Amino acid sequence: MSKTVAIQYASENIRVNSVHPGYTKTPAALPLFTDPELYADRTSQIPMGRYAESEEIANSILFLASDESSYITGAELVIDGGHNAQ
Amino acid sequence: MNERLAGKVVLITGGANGLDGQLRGFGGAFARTAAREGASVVITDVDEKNGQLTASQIEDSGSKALFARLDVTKSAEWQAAILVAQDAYGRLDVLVNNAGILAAFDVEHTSEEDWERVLAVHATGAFLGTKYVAPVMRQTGGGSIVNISSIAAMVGNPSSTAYATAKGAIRSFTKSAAIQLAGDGIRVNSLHPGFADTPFTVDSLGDPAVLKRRLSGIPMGRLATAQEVANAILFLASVESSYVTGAELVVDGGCLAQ
Repeated sequence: MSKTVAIQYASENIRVNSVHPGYTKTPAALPLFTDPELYADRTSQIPMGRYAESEEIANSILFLASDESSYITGAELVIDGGHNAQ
Repeated sequence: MNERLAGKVVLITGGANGLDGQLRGFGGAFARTAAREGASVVITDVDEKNGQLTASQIEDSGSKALFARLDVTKSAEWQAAILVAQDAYGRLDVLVNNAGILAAFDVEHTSEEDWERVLAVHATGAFLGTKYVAPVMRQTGGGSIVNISSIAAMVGNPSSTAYATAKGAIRSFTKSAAIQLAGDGIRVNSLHPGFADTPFTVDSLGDPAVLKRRLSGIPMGRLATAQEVANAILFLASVESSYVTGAELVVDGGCLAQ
């Protein structure tokens, strides 16, 4: 959907992008990092060996929201500590 | 405002196109941006004249910069350039593998020499840079490597077969390096610009018919500026992208979303 809408609104200078976080320490993922066994299992699959802090996702949102990304639209930004590079 | 690369040392390949008042390339634009954000900048290039001049103009503006000659296909030149950076600034935090050349030929018109040269500058260049810079970054607990690929890495580009192949190599090399170096705190990402207004594209996009055809394929209806690509490099180079590694950042005005 982000791509479709990005194309539709590009000429009106409205940019649309998607952010793809990996495992992140948020309330939604609470059991995944409070349970040591689960946490160890998940982080063993992440090259960076840890979860994201929610601020790290926020920083990427800020980049896409700001004029710093003025030529970026219809793009996907993966923030996953290398998980999907494997 | 806080400087986003304060205290960092940045090495850029293909960074000579950063002169005052002239059309800048990605490397030159990022050299300027990195200096503005508080970094010490090591500009490398095979173009010694403009590389020296870009570095001295950055110095004149009150930032730290130096030039080191570097043919990215040569191991010995990489090692020498890295030593220059370490001697001057003591560390290395960011590497931007930006040096590139074009051979605008389809598969049947690409000579073996062109094929090997294009692959050497892009793929071997990024490989050697990563190989020699990683141990230096490891000494200070990590760093960020930004490999300039292209949207040509993701879709076919029959008019520049060798270039597209080389950019594809950078794309997959980036992921292997990212996984290997993640444990050392070294992030490695690829950046995929679309069509941009730089010295690199003056010949091809200078033709009004070609430019019109290209623009018709870009939802945003215009070319990127080098500064817009430099801003994306800055994001990947800085701590703002601290959980981003092995990723691909497309900066193409919506080209590939179609």
